[in-house]
Amino acid sequence: MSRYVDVRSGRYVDSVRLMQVSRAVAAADGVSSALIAMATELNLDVLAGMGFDVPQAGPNDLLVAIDADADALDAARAVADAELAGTARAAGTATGGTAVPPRTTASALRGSAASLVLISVPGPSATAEAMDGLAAGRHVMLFSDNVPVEQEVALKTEAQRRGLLLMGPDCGTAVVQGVALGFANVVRSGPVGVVAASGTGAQQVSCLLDAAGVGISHLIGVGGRDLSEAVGARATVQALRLLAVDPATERIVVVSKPAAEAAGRRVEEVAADLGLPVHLALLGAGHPDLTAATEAVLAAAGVPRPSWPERLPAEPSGARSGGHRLVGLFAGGTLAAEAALLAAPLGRVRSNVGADADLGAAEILTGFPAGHLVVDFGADELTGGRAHPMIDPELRLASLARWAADPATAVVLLDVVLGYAADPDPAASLAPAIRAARDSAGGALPVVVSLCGTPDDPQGWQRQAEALAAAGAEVYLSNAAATRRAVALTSSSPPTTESPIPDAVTPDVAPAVVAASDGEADAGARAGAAELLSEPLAVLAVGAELFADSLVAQACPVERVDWRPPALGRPEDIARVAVDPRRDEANRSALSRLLAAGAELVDVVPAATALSLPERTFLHAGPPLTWDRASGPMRGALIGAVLLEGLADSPEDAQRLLERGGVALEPCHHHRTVGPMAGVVTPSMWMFELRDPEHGGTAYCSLNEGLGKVLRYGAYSPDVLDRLRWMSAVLGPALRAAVRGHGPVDVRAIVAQMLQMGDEGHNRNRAGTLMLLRELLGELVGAGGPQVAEVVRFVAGNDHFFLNLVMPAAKLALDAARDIPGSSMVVAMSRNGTDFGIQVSGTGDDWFTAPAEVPDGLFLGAFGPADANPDIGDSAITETVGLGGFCMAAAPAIVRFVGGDVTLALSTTRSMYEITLGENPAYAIPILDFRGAPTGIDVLAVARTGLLPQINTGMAGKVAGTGQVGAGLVKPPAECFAAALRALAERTPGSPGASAGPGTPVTRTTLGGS
Amino acid sequence: MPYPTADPVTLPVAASAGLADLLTGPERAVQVAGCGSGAAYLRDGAGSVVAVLAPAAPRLPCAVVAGDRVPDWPLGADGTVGLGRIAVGSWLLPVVRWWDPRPALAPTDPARLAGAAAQLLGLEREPASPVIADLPVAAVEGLAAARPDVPAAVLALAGRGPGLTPLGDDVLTGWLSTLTCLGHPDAVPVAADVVGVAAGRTTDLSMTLLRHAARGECVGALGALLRAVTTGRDVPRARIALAAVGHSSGTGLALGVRLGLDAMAGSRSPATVGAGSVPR
Repeated sequence: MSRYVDVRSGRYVDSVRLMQVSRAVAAADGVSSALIAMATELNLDVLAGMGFDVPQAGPNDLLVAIDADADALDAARAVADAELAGTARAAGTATGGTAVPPRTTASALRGSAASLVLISVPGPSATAEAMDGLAAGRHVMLFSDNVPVEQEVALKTEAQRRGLLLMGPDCGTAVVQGVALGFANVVRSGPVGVVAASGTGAQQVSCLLDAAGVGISHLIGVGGRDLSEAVGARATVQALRLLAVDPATERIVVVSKPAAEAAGRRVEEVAADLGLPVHLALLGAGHPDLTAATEAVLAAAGVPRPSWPERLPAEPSGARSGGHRLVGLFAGGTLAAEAALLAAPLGRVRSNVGADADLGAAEILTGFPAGHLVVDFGADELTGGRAHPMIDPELRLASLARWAADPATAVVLLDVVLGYAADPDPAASLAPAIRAARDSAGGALPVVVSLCGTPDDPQGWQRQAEALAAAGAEVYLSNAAATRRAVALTSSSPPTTESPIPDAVTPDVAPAVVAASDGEADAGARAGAAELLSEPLAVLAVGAELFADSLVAQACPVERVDWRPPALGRPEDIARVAVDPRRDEANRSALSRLLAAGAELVDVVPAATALSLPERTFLHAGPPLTWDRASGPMRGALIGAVLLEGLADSPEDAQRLLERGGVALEPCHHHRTVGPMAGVVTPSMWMFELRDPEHGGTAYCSLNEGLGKVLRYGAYSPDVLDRLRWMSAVLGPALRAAVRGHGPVDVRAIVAQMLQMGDEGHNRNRAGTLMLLRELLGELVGAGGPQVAEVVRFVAGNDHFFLNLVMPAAKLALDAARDIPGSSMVVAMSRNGTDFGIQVSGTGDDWFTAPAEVPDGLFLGAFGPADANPDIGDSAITETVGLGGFCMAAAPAIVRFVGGDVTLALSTTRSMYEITLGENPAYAIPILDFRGAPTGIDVLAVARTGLLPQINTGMAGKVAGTGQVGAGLVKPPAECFAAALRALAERTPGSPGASAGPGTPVTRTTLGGS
Repeated sequence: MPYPTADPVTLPVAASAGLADLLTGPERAVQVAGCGSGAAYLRDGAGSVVAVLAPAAPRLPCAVVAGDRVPDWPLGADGTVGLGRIAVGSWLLPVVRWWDPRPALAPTDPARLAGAAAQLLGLEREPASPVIADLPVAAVEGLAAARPDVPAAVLALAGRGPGLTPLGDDVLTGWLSTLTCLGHPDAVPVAADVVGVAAGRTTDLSMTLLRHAARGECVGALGALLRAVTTGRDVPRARIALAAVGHSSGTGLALGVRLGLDAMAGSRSPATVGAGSVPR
């Protein structure tokens, strides 16, 4: 035999698909075992149990392990690869070549008809998806487990506030208008509404109601903890009110563990006021079992108690001689809990469910604990990175074989849960396993099965029961009946149909109250939520494909999200920021300020006066920087600036001045200024002055020198300096006269037009430049003077002249959106040639920095990648406002300059919608049917999708004095966003770091941008 | 016309409970009578129509709704309905779920209905309404009477107007649905009259919809308007949503609702109006 173990990072496939891949590989010739799974702790344990050496791997890695005959291994690996390749959804096929499938619930819901979002992604990631659904006004069914209780409370509070229903978490069942969401049975429609804080408990009750010929109206799963003290019955109360106004519902059953005191009181208060009978089926010591509780409902409805379906083998087993232990192996948590309660009279029951849970995963999988045993294989510790046992039977079947072989085992009690999303044919694997188990015990081992399902389930109760009975199992619909039978067999007492459990408590049946109090106060909220039960259902499914497929099988319209695990940032930070109650409103406000901002060119002025720039103070691009960390082009530009200002006579002297700190350096962004590339601004330079008439902001930018050997790319030769002197002496004053003569120039309007003309506003500004010239030409010529031709020729000959107006226009819009507590919108992205830094609206003036990366693109002349400096310049402000790389689709010709192809231009813009808060209707992209530019980068969305903003940029030579070497594409380092996310999380209300100042990896700065 | 052979396609559908007899009964032959974007229509020998609809299409009471897509059947192709499914050529549409085309209405009072009727005034003058002006005024107004001359109204309106569902039938359907759903004391005999007189005078689809209306089964947006009318909430919004059905059908249905409400007001008013006179 040969063993193959491979760890593949960067692949995510949901656990149900992986189980299917594992099965396909295990079924290949010569394969003895295979495990293809995410490398969670549980799965690594399982791998060790299979005899493999455990590799270094984490829960985001894909594990491929195959044990096969040496000559069969290659073929088995090929099967694994082919199956895994088949799981990669062909994104392009359904939606056209450059379409980008939605990556988050928020982006999928834009323009979606879905009324409900069904979420089954891993718990730590589920909160953000659920919040997206609520923020978009959709009901949410949160199938995921492992959602922290404080997040559950936050989500349910938000749902209540919006008049929406949040079902779940960790109670994987609901039936709305006959559509099964998650795990649910095909139950006949009838007058009983079910509210369930228990998944399989609710399935048991609804299947019994079906068998009694009664049926259900709707089943609303409210989450396993809804009746806890922390959650306080929030969803139960909503569900009760919803069902009370549903015309099909005549009485309600609440299925749950016993409620916490206050939550229970709240439920009773609300129930008493509903105007229809509410029955409480609370599973716990001193309460009737679920079957008895269902019988009480039937009695109250005047329906005679039926004889519950059962199927017995031709020759039922007697007790195993010498056996003294009941072994219950369950897939359903509530069914396991009920069995543990009913088995209590036998003596000590070891279990991983219920109040006395004391069994861990390792003991369950490999140990032989003493005493009676009831295991829930659906518990969190046994499902991490694996599909639920209702789908994936492997762990339970292995345990069945182990325990059956133990002579102390007197009887094995199993549950099988049918219905949508469950194993399509559980008996196919369980019946042979039961047979083998009984054989291993010499045929004397009784096996009792609690089979929860209906005749109309896809698997068919009768068919499954026949197959299991044929394997020698006794099969009961009632879990209580099955457990009592197993208890009787264990204690070797004769089987009895009477309850061996003392004190059959009278069920708590709340009296029917005739007068319904129709509180008009919450009537509106109710009417909104009531649509869930009355309007045709359409679902957005996020997570396991299985659930989406099961909706298709039920003729329910379903859309899907191409969800993947968060690629950067800590999951707990994502969840905390996601549930920040300020976030939605803060981001709306930030985005609307950004979109409302205007940008008018009002003057052209020297930096010394405009910025009150003292002598020997220079501005530079990017986050704060000191000479010792400055890169080649930044140093070159600073040397040139010293020479330009006459502070030194030679480049060497200039460098010495800079080395000893003879010039103060400050970021442009701290002075309402932006500068392309090195962005160096000196007192003698002339600046464009732009004003935002909406918010009153002002922003500045230097005049553009042209391409090639220029100061901003780090060149400082005499011709470079001569040009700058001419710009200060001639160009600046001429433009000032023209602008003053013309009156304010609407820069935003020109930007809007340039997008219609093939520019993207960062690396292609040709149309913008010509439109500016057209605007000012009359005044330029009218002012006359000997140098007017020079000025016009200079502007017309520089395709990037208008960039220096797009940038301050963007700066104005983003400064208007600064400092909104709770907002996760990026307000600056900038680079100084050494570091890339971002600023976020909700975190004030803090910079989140990481080493800048080298762009990838096309090079001028003989230059190559080795000549390029890391990313530099404030010009990424254009992407921050939704232009540049975000608008590549508007400028397909840009690919000739920065590399890539037209398809890339289109798909880039489309993918940026996944990480932005909205669209800018003023900046419309013709080829996308005039869709607005993707605008307002959301730190949270970047972290969730791992999609980084796309920046189009120029490349400077890394040696000081070289100038431009090319142009290309670059992205910010992911660390900037991870750090920003962390800082946002620390500032969320109630978080430990909320009042503790800035987060750790932050460059603290003193001056704001606005 | 036999259906061209192709790979079998299974398309699960959710069916109107109003089709339960037809779809769960023995197999009977149907033909594809129409097929367009978002809808396909099948017709049996007796002229009963079964629609196959995309989720976004208006929910007709004679429809099955597919979750995914709608077949592109050729006109005239042969098929069957019955045994819990629809089969046309290589397509198999099993019914996996049923939905109720009868609006679930809570009991209400005449004052609330009168208030709602007032909010439906002026339908004749709305943009989609020029065709309404072409309907015989006397017949239209006659429907508002407490004891309408049903045969006269049906003779005047059935089959009148353009479209797959002529506008006159839309008005009749909206009016009859209102009487049956809100429990007009004479709903049962009136419904029998309408169906009896209209037979053979209008299109198969209209006739099918009238038969469903006689049982209190109606298009989703009409049911929503009746719900709004009985609760007194969101009547204008429901009316606008109904107006979006078809070209002018929604407006015709809404006018029918208003006439029906007038008829209800004039009938011997029970203290509370019940949840339908048709057995549920």
